This record gives sequence, C-alpha cells and structure tokens, in this order.
Amino acid sequence: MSERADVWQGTLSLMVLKTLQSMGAQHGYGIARRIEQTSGDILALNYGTLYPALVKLEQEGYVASEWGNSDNNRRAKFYSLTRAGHRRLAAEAKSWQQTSEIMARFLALEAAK
Amino acid sequence: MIAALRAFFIRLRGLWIAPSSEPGMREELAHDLALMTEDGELRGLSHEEARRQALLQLGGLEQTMQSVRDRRTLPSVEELLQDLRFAFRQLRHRPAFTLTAIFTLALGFGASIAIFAFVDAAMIKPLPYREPQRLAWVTETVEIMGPANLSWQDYQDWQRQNRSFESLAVWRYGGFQMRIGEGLVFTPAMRVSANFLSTLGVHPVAGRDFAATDNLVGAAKVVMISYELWRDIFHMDPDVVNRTLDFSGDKYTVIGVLPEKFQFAPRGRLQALTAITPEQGYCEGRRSCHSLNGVARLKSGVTFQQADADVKAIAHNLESQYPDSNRGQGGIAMPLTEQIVRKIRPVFYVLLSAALLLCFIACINVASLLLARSEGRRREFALRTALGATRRRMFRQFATESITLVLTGTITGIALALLSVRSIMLLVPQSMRDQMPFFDSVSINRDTLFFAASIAIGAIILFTLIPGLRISWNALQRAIAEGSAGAGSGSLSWNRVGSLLVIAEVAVAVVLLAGAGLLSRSLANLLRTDLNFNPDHLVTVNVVPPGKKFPTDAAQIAMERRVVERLSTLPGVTAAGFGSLLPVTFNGNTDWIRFPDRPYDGKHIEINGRSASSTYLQALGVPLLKGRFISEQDTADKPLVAVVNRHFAESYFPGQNPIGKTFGDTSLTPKSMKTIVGVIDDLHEGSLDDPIWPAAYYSAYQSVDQAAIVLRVASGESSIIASLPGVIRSVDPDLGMSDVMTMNDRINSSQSATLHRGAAWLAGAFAITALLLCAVGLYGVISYSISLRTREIGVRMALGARRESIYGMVLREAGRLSLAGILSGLLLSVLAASLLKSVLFGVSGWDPLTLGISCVVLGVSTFLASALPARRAATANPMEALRTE
Repeated sequence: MSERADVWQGTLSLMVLKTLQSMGAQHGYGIARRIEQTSGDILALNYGTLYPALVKLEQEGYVASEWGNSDNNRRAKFYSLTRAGHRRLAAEAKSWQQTSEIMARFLALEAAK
Repeated sequence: MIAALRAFFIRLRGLWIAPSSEPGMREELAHDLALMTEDGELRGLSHEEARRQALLQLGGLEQTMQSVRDRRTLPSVEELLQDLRFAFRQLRHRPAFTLTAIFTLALGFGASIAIFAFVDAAMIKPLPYREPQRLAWVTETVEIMGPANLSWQDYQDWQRQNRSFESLAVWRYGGFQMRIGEGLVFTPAMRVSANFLSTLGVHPVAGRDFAATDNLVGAAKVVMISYELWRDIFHMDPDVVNRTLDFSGDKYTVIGVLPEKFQFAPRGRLQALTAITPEQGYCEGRRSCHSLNGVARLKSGVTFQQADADVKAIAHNLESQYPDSNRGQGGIAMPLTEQIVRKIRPVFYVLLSAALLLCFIACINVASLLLARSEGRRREFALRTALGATRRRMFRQFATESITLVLTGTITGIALALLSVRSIMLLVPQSMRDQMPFFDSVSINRDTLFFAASIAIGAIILFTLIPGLRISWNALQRAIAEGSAGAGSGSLSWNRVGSLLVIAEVAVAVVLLAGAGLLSRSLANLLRTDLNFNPDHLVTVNVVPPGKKFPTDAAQIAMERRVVERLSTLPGVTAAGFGSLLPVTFNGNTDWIRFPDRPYDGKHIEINGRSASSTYLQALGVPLLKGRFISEQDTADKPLVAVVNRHFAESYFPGQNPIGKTFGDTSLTPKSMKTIVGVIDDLHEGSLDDPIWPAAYYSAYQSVDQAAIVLRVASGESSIIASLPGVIRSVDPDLGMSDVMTMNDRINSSQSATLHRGAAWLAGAFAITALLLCAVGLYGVISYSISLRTREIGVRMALGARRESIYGMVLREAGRLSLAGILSGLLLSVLAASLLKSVLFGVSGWDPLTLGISCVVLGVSTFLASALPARRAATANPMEALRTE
C-alpha cells in the first residue's frame, strides 16, 4: 500500500452525505469502504473519526439510522440521508464546486506563466 | 445554527441516555469489524491476520468507542460532575475551612438579600396598580410648605385645562364611626372623585365603581367598602351591595366592594371610599379651601416634566383669573412612587450600601481563606499539572470549587434572608406599615432571587480568579523544582495579595462602624430633641364625636369640657386640657394671616394654627415666656385671643413685645382679628426632624375643632389609659376614641423615630458582623502567614532571638496592615458621609468623635485578632519549628 492521506478536515461529512446519496442506506463499514474506493484508495479513513462524524450528522438531523439486516444476514446499523441531509448536501456541494473552480483557475494561472 | 442547537440538546440528553446506547454501539462496531475481517480473508489473509489489520484500521476498539462516546454526550459536563465530586470531597476534608467560608458567605449574602427585598418592595414596585410608572402625584403648592392641597374648584379647572393626563382624580382622608349593632367602630376612609379607581386601574370585585353623578351636589350618599370589611363583617355576602350603612350618623348605600388587598399607598388600611359631593358651605364648595390630593394617569408618551410644566402653567392662569383665592398657588406633578418613598428611600439606600459592604467583607474573607488554602495546595496543583492537567482544566477546578462554596453559601444566605425579613417585619410598627403599605409585599421573590444570583455570580468569578491568578504557571514549575510548599517567592506574593485583602477589609469595616455610629448618634439626637414641653407622664387621647351628635359649637365645647372635667377627677391625674392637635404630630393645618398697619406684599403669611383650652398648654408643660395662657374667660362672646410661639414672635416682632399686637385673615376681616396675649416656647408640633414653624394657639372656646386631650399624671399611666374608655363613654356612649397612648410612646413610635431607630439598629448589626468578620479574617491571614514562616521563626529563635522580639515582629506586621486599613477606611468614611448626610439628624457626616471611636474599636479588635497567633508563634518550640520541613 502506498502512502495514504488522511481525510481533510471538514470534508468528511460532505463525503459521507454524498456517499449515502449515491448508494442509499448503508452501514458504517460500507460508507468507509466506498469513500476509500472512490478516492482510488488514496484516502485512509480513521474509523475513530468516522463513527463520531456519523453520530454528529445524526444529532444534527442530516442522517437517520436504523437497524436492519446486511447482505450476508448480519444485524447492522444502516444510515440514510434525511431531507435536511439532501438540502445540506446540495448546499455544501455547490460551495465546494465554487471553491475548487476558483482554485483551479488560480492553478491554471500559475501554469501559463 | 438550528442543526448545531439540535445536536447540543441531543448531547445534553446523552448525559443520561448515553450509557444505555453502549451495547448498540458495541454491536455496530463488532459488525463492521467482522465485515472488515471478511474482506481481509477475501484478500487471502488468515483470519487472525485479517482481524489484526481490521483492528489496526479501526484504531483500537476502545479508542473508537471512547471517541463516539465523547461525541454522544457533552464531555465538559461529565468532567464538571467529576470536578464537582472532587470539590465536595475537598470541602468535606476541611470542615473548619468549609463551614467558616459558607457561614461567612451566608451572613453577607443573607444581609444584602434581605435588605434588597425591602428595597425591591419599596423602590422597584411599590404601587400595585396598572402601569404604575404612568401614575403621578399632582397637587398645588404654596410658598411656606411647598406641596400643599388642591381645592375642588381648582381641581375642576385643572381637569378641564390639562393636556397631560389621561385622567386626574382627587382624594382626601376622612374617617367614619361605623355603627355595627350597638357599637361604633372607627373606619379609616377616603373621599374621592368618581374616577379615582379607574385612574389607578382598579376594578371593584363586586358591585359598581363610582359614576360621575355621584360627585354632584346633593347626590345620594354612596360608599365602596374594603374587601376586609366585606369578609369580616358581612361574611362575603353578595347582597351587601345596596345595603345601607350607618356612617357617623349618616346613611350610606353600599355600591361596591374593593379588591382584596387594595391599598392606596399614601394612606394605608382603607376600609371605605365615599364620593366627594361639593356642597355649598363645606370645604369643597369654596375655591380657597384646599383639602384634596391629586393622583393622575399620564397620557402615554407624556413625561413627568411635561406634566409638571402643564400644571404650573394652569396654576399661573388661575392665579390671574382668581387673584383673591389663588394668589401664590403653584402646581406640581411628580411620580407617585416618589411621593410615597421619598422619606424612606435614603434610609434604604444607606442600608443597602451597608449590606453590600458587609457582603464585600464576607467575600474578601472567603477569598483570603481560599488564597491561603491555595498556597497550602501548591504541591497538589504542581503534581496535577505534572500529570498533565492543562491550565484550563485547573481553572475549571477552581471554578467548580468556588461554585460549590458560593452556591451553598447563597442557599444558606437566602434562608437567613427569609428569617430576617420575617423578624424585621415584626419590628416595623403597625402605624408605619399603614403609612407604607409596600411593607406588606416584602418577600423573597423573582427580583430578589435575581439579585441573589447576581451577587453569587460575582463572588464565583472573584473566587475563581484569585487563586487562579495567584498560581502562575512559572511558580508552579518552580514549586515542583523546589519540592516544597514552604516559603520563597510564592509566599512573598501571597503576603502581598493577602495584605491587600486585609487592608480592604479593615477599611470597609471602618466605614460600616463609622456609619453605624453616626446613625446611632443621630437617633440619640433625635430622641433628645428639645421638645420644649415635658413628655414624661403624659397620656394623650383623641375624642371623636359621632357625626351629628353635637350640632352646635357650644354643644361640642360643653361635651369636651365635661370629658376633661371627669378625666381630671381620676386619681393620679394632676392636669388635663384639650386642644386641636397633639404636639409631635405634624406641621400643617395652617392659617394664612396678615398684620394690620403693615404693607401687604401680596404674599400669605402661613402659620401652624392650633386651639388650646385654658389648661391645655399648662398640662403639656410648655414654658410661658411672656403674657398669659388662654383663660376660661376667652369664650365665644369675648374678643378673639391667641398665644403665639417664640418662633412667631421672633419672626414677626423682632425686638418688640408682641403682647397686645393683633393679626387677622388675609383680608383683615374685623371678626377674624385676634390679639396676642401670650408667648410660649417653641412647642414641637411637627415630627422630631421637622423644623419649627411659627404657630398660634387660639382659644378652644372660640375656635372649635377636634378634641385632643392631654392628661398629666403623677404616675400609673397604664391604669389611667385602661380607665379612659369607661370615663369618656360615661359622658356620651357614642363618643369614639383614637390614639390612646402616652406621649413618650407617641414620640418613640413616630415615623421619624422608627426610621432612625430601624436604620441605627440594622446598621449597628451590620457593623458588629463586619467587626467580627474582620477580626476572623485578620486572624486567619496572620496565623496563615506565620505558619508559612514557621521555619524562619524557628531559625531566628535558634539563633537567640527572644520571644518578645518574635511577638513584636508579628504584631508590627499586623499593626501595619490594620493601620493602613484604618487610614483608608477614614478616607472612605468621609467620602461616604455625603451619602449619609440626608438621613443624619443633628450630627455631621465627619463627626470626629464617632470616627475616632470607630478607629479605636477596630484597632483594639485587630490587635486582639493578631495577638493570638503572635503568642502562638512566640511560644513555639524552636526545635519543632525547625523540624517542620
């Protein structure tokens, strides 16, 4: 395994929300795997960070959780987006896009020099 | 924002329910761990290796659990509970320290909370009416006494012409003898204009309010009765409305019942309200007869200044319109609250300041205790810091400890306050409570608790900062390096802070002591006021004839003569007489006079007008300076005579003999002319702290008024008082009585005496407490500072220092502190004197005797407080002192 980067501060909750949006209800491990896969295994998820983040999102009302059976028939806790979560995701995604576009423009400027 | 708030409350709830969610959390992690392990096995790892890697990735099961747990609840609150438990343990382990601190705080807080309860009732919400901040006291003014009374005619004009009032009502005091069955009961009452209750915003609980027609000439006599009367006499009978009551011989129809606890602050304990009917020939029929007080509700947005200017302008117009009756009549409008609390406010402010100072001393005491203790705990703090406690964490520990202390102190203080409010209320005489009905609403209420909370928060901040600031980071590091809790730079700075606290404490105690001393001297002066008559062995009674029993002056005079004759035959009575107003009652009941052959400058000369029977002034024992007293021969068919007081003679006849001079009413009508036949000394007519006014005493046989009887007795006042009702009723069974008491009781229970006495007692109590706290505080500081220097003292003694020199060293240190404190206290006292000035009587704010005594008392007590620890230090065994290391 190559050098892997920790998740940047403040982006984890956005990633979790986006993951839940694209995959539907998912348990903690599934979310973590998906984030790692999506990042091309560049991001390393610390579970000691992920679980508190999930609890926080739930406390804030952006995700809901319920117990259900996983694919291999184990009892697992599934997280899903709430309506507030959808709105929040939309808002945050938009602001991130703006941020990255601005950054991209600056980096392009640097390259043309 | 909302999301964050939501999260906060869930976490707060998590404090209780988090433990129950533990198994679920464990299960979730176990499930994920299993999935990870399976993934590893799919990648070809052995089960053990896959599980190991999965655990690694989780960052350890327990750590993950902990981080989730932290997120679920509020870790700070959990730590707080932990700190709290620790604080309680700490406090329990030092019961002497804890009890002293809590008791000290409770004393200081209790005193200020109790006094605040009074201030709150009196100053903050004394008026139980709708929107009391819009209620004004409105009346006319005259030159000699400022605010005087309104006349009904002027009131009518004011009501029509003003632009400031939503409504303007008037009232005057009046009492009735109410006949219940065979007996007569004195019933305090007020006569009011019909809009009186609606101006206050009060509605009757039964029946109707007055209507404008009730104020018309010749209107039927109607009355509203108090709730108490309704309850106690009529047993809440709803049919009381429309019943007829016999009031002083007149029939009144009940139209309504006042609400429970209704009081009109300037005049308490009302039992009935009747409507003013301005009949011709009576006072309200004349513009020049001033008998009413106004109360108004300001239009919203109108200030008291505007209202005041408004009534002054109207009064000015009326003056030019009616030059005869309205000359010199101004107007005034001010907040009703102001009128009620004006006299008592400065006393309360002084007491509240005293209580706050006491509170301050208590806090300083506890702060120095905490400081001393924190010095002793340097090692513990150093150790905890070394073990990784952050500075913030340490601060929080101090905060928790002080919160625990202060909360316990405050709760005990509130309990103490409740107790003292009860006992103070027992000391307030009924007459004063009647005058100031807000006394009834003194309680520990929301405002009081808010006040308690604010001082508690102040104390918590103080107590957290003091040890926190003291234990500087570097000092902590050094303490570890030195490995000692002993002397060094730390105790030097401790000495500095501790010394400052002691100086502040002594200074404040000087202020309190001096204040209490001044108030006591002022009370003594007040009670020693030269009354110019002899108040000892004097019994007084007001005889109240029922309404129409004695229709003519002659009949009333005959009745009064008969009563006094019978009373003077009682054994022990040496002299008896009757007049219109007893001395030490009030300045007022005035006459406007004018002297013949003198240019009339258009101003009224206003004097206290009184009447006296032939024996009245002699029975009082007033010295006769010139001429003669009123005699039996000064009857209605003889020329009118007057005896004047010294002040009258000196003001209007300086350097002349006033005997034989005359004066009359402002138009010098021949039948008003009176000849001065005598001059007496300045009989104190007003309250003890009121100035002496010019006064004239007319013959009670020529000028009929109410009958106030004085009896000079040789001894046995109480048996005379007991036999009064029988004797008076033997003259006429319908005669009522009021104010049966000895003159000394009257003086001692007068409002001014009560106010001064109350202030002096309370301030004295504060001062004694302050003195005690101060001594305890100094004792604590000195003995602590000695305990820090035990080693040094041991070395000195081992090197041959004599016990006396150790003694001297400690005492010199304590002496320096208390001297600095006393000097700053003197300075503060002089500053505080300006606050005291308005409540002092006959003594200046910087009375050297009082200040001197206060300093000596404090000096002695601080000496005693430091002598004990000094003695202990000097008698210590040097070997043991050295061994304390």
